This record gives sequence, C-alpha cells and structure tokens, in this order.
Amino acid sequence: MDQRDLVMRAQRGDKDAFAVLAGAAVARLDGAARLILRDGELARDAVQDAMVRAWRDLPGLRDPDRFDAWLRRLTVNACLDTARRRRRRSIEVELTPILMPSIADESASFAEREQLDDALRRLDPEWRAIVVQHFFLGMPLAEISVAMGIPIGTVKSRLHRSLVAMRGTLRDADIDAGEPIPGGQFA
Amino acid sequence: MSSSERYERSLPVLLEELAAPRTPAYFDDILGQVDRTRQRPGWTFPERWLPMSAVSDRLATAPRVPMRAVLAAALLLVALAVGLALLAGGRKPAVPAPFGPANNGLIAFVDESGAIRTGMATATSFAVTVPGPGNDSPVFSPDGTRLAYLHPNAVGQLDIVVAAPDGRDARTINTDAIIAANFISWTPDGGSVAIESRPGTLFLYDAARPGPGTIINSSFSGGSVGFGDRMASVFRPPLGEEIAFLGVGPEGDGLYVIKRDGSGIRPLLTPKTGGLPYFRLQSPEWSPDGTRIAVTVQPAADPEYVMSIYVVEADGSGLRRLSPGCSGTDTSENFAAWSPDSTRIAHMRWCQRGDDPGVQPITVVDVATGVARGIGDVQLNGYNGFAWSPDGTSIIEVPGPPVDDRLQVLIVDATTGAVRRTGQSTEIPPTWQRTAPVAP
Repeated sequence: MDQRDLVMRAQRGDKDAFAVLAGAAVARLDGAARLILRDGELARDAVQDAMVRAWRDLPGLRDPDRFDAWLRRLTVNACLDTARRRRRRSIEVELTPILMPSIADESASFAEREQLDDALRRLDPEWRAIVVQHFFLGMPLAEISVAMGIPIGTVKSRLHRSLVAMRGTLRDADIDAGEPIPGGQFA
Repeated sequence: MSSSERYERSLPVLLEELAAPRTPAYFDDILGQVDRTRQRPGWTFPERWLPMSAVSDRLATAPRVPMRAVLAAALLLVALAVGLALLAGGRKPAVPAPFGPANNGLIAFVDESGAIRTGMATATSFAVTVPGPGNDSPVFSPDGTRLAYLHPNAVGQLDIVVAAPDGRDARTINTDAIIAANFISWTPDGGSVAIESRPGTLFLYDAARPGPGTIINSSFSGGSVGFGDRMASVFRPPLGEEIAFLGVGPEGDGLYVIKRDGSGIRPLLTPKTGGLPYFRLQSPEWSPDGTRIAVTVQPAADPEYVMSIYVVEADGSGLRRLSPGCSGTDTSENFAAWSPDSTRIAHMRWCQRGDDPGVQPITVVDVATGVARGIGDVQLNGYNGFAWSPDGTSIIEVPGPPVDDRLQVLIVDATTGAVRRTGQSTEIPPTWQRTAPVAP
C-alpha cells in the first residue's frame, strides 16, 4: 500500500494507517527536534504535539501527497513554539547534550561533533531550525520558506549567516562559552 | 574546494551523527495519545467544502469610515504642519514628509563584495559609496538625508553607521557591543535607528550622537516579540509614537500596540478579541497613513496552517482578509508591504500544489477591492527582497530561488509589470531614498 493510500485511510480514522505513517517519520522528526531544541524532553513534547495535532487535523489535509511536508511543517512549528514559550518564561533549560554513541564513521570525529554541537547551541532556535531543515531534513529552501513563512532570501541569508557563525565557532574554540554569536540568543 | 564548501558538505553527515535518529521510546506514548484523541470531522474544516473567498468573507466587516475620515483629516493636518515647519526652516533643503508618497531618489544595495553601491534606478552604473567587505542592511532615513547600515568592526562585532547618502560623514552611533542585528530601521521622525539585536527586543540608538542602545520594549522582557523580517513599519506613522508588536500581552499571544514609552498597551488581535481563531501571527506592518495594520495570520481553522494576510483598522476593528487567494489551490501569503499612498499591498504568494510550493511573482492587491495581480514574471519573483519606490509606481526586487538564483536587482513597473534590469546583483534587499517633490 503506498503512502497516499495510507494517508487517505488515516484521514478516514484508521489509526493503524496513521501508526505506519507516524512510525516511518518519527525517528527523523525526533532527531530534528532534538537538534533544534537542544533538549530531549522539549523535543519529545514538540514531536508529540505535532503528531497528535497531525492525527486530529488530518481529515482537513487537502492533498494527501503533501503529508510528509505537512508533518515536517507541524513539527518545526511545534519546535519553534516550544522555543518561544521557553524564552517567554525566561527559563533557561539546562541543555542536555545529545551526543550519544553513533554508528561508527571515520569521516567525523567525536571532537568535530562536539564542536558542531557547541556551534549549533549558540544559534537562535529559528536560525538553528533553518540549518536543521536544510541539512538534516533535506528540505529545499523554497519549502523552508513556506514552512516558516519567511522569504527565500531571508532563509538563504540566515542560512549563510548561521554557517558563517558556526564556522567561526569551530575556528575559535577558545571563544567565551557565554558570549553569543551572530544570530545567537542571549542567555 | 574551499574550506567553507567542505564544511557545508560535511554538515549532513555531522548532523546525522549528532542527532543519531532512532525511533524514540516515547513513540508508544504518541500512539496512546492518538488513540485517545478524536479526529476533527472533515466537515469542520470549511476550506474543504467552501471556496476560500466565502471563508474569508465571513470575517469581512464594514470599515469604520467616519474614524478613517477623521484620521485622514488628522494626518493631513500633520502633513500640513510638517510642510509649514519645513517652509519655516527657510534655508534647509526640502525633505519629504516622513510618510506618504515622495519622489524617487537613489537606490542603495550591498554588492557581492560587501560594498554599498548607490545610484538612480535609471542609472547604468552604480558608484561604490561605502567600500566592503561586510556591510549589511543599508536603509535610508525617512527624509532621505541619511543612510544607516551595519559595518563589521575590528573585533568582529557590528557598528551601526550613519552617513550621508553619498557615504561621506560616516560615524558610528553605538558605543555598546552589538553581536547580532536581525533587523534595522529608522524611527519615522528620523531621530533614531532601531535594531533587534536580541531576539524579541528593540534597541534604539540616537542617530545624532553616539551612545548605548536603549531598550524600548522592556515592559515585555521575557516576552516573545515577533517583528517579522522587516521592521520598516513597526512604528506607527507619521510620528512613530506607537509600536505594533506580536507577543504576550494581557490577552495572551497576539497583536498589540503599545506606546514607545511602554505604556498604553492596546490589543488588536488576540484570542479574546474574537472573530478569527489563529495558530500564529507574523509580520505586522503599519500602513503609511497610520490607519491600518496588515498582518499575516495562520488561521486555526485551517489544518494546513497556510498563511493569509489580513488587514485590521488601527483601533482593532474591521478585520478582513486582504484577498481571496489563489484559485483552486492552497494559498500562502506573507510580507505585506504597503504602497506609499496606502492603497495597495505588495506581498509574496505561494499557490501550493502537492510538493510544489507554487512560487508566484510579487502580488499587488488593491486594498479597497481585494483584486490581486501578479506583477512581472514568476522567474522574477522578488523572493530575495522587495520594496516600493517612494512614488509608488515601481517595485525594486531581487529574484530568488528556486526559479532564479542570479540575485539581479530589478525595477518592476507596479502597473504594467514591465521589468528593467539594473545589471547589478545583491543578496540583501535594496533601499530606496525618498526625496521631496521638486518645487514648481
């Protein structure tokens, strides 16, 4: 059964069909949420919120072929809402390192990942979301533009500036950990 | 291959390793929640069985004409007062009123080397007025007499520089450290430059004398203030005495107006004002006559959370959708830009179909009738940024991907859609100088 059929069945209330669809997507979306939010608990909340919202509102999805893009959008928006709520409450959640044993790959060292982790952490969540959507979820700039409601030019410039900032962090490992970088949030 | 290219190529692998995607342990919890959650019946989504125009019409209310007329009269008086003040100034050069249509002056943009170039829109060459690299976000003052821009300093932070339009008399106006600046804008009176250097916080810098920034929305510290991607119309014209912002106010997340001193908060569109349940709001923009605000809304009734532009009167009345949207497909709209005479709104529009985002050319809507028209070709879509000419006849725009990635600076006739290529390119939205009408 192809995905379109599964979506149409889920739209008619078939929970098993939705479980298949959600199961196929949840690992990557959870990874994206953890990268954006830098916190496993917050990521879980965001993904759960997105998934339950997806189930609830699925009958309204007009084009079944757009399910994947729609679910990505829901998840990214849920992450950004979570980040905003956290900022609004002025509560700085302890960032839980998400580094964990991964499939061995000699192309990237643990140190590189640690530096990337640090560079990502210093970005504002909205900028981080663009990096994650493009480089982790593989979304083209146009789709990110629609998903986040910002012009492609802004997506592009934020992506560019994020990369510059991240490269800067990697270059300068001695940078003060409390000092924000362009696009970064103040603690 | 450069180091930056290598870095970008390695990012997907590094992110993959960092995230280590796996089915999370809480997936069963999700399915449990789904099991306990009832789906919304399809018929509760009106967009599935009603034309979008009918849905948006439900929200249309008659504009409060008397109030508009009173405000328009008041603005005319202000304009008259400004004009008289300028006349009284005698020897000062004529400058335009800080709002409304004006004559077209120079355009300024950052070229590929990071230099700021300026010239008339009809020019065939554009002079470097501020050498690069690293300049960013040039923006002319409302009276067209100065140009503000961001410039990287020796320690890798940002300076806000104010200069004459030709780049002379440049001086840094901030004495504090600016690490990041998302947006930059002049206040309507031209006395200050505002930047958002901390997410959700506006800082004001005196344009005439160097000093530290002053936070002007401190009453909302801890709040999330969304200024959208442009701040050109955050301050209410013509005097800028009020600020429109998205954030947390007494009625929850919504669109509010607050005085510059932090007092007098007024809810315009909140969960309690009713009429339009929404998921999220974005990018509020004051009309140049200060009577209305355009704001992007993701209505809660639409499960796909597409974005639509709504217009609301300054007192919160008359909320209505700007236009019905695309025919036969889902519409996403964002980034309303009012024409200088406040009669039209240019915006970006996507007519989505399947995975195709359906990029459209810049769309201009007559605010009174809701009639929409794409100007130019979709290949020249302005998605890297656009702005009205001061006289309202043209739009300066920079096309963007996926249909055009050449970053050309184009001048598009707002009526005919005729395109003039300047032969220049930029990644940063250009700014257009307002000048006073030539005396008869």
